[in-house]
Amino acid sequence: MPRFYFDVREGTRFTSDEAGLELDSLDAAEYEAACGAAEIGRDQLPKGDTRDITVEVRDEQGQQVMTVRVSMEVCRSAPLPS
Amino acid sequence: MPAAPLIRKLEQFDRISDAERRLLEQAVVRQRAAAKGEDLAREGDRPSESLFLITGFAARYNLVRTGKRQITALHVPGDFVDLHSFLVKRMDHGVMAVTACTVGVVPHEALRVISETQPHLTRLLGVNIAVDAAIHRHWIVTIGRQSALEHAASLLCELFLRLQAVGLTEGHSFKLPLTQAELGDCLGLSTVHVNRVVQELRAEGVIVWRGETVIIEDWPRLQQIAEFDPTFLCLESEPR
Repeated sequence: MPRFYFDVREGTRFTSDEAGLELDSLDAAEYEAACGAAEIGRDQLPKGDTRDITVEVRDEQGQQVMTVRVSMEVCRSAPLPS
Repeated sequence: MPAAPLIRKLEQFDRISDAERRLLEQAVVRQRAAAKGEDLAREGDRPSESLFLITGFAARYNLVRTGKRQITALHVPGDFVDLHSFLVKRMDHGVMAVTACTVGVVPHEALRVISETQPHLTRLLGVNIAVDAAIHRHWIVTIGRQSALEHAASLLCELFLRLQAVGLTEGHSFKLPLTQAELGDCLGLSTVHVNRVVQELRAEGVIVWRGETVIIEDWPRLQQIAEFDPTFLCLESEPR
């Protein structure tokens, strides 16, 4: 089975994946990246330090094969005229 | 002496008399080896014996329909992995050997005799089950209301203290033979997220994790990150 590596980028913070994961397809890699991005987003986005999380997926040759990004946008509405 | 790790574990809770010690030694009728990955019990089983770990790590787990696994408890030497099967009869979860294990076998019949003749020993076995439940409660709180970083830090604090209590730590280092996928199954996290939190604990200088060895570099900081209060582990010996 091919091995994929999942690096995580949050603003200026970068976490590289040295171990990787054996997965049977690119679809499985996409699901793993999406779960990771969504979970990290759940933890980190409400803190407001960073507005998006990107998981960058590499193959065994070090070639980037996919990025998955989650972001949060907060829009405060204008106050109603009194 | 196969009963030694079990006796040591029960001695965490209260003093054990020589007569009680002999009864526990007699209750362990044999020991057996289990290979890494082997099921010690399966969901749906009706065991007639309870098992405790002499060496190795085991995990209680449940599978959901998608094939995903949640590990609901980790067990270290001295722990019964299914003492409750004596009372509840049918297993509502599986138990797997996370590493190669040696287990001590205690027939339910021996537990029945102890429960009918040894009130103090029976209370200590009750404490054992109560602490298993306290650890489950602790995991629910961390899984539900703490960040992944806090949760991972909490699990490391818990395992360090439990292993220390049975003499399996060296200074602030201990063996943790879990893959990132297994750690993810404990924490309810994807391996991508597990990798991120482990790297953060490393980058902050809180832990070093090399191969199967974890070294806690900053124990106060690890406890602070986890908001760790060890009360639930019931590690003080007192009359019970």
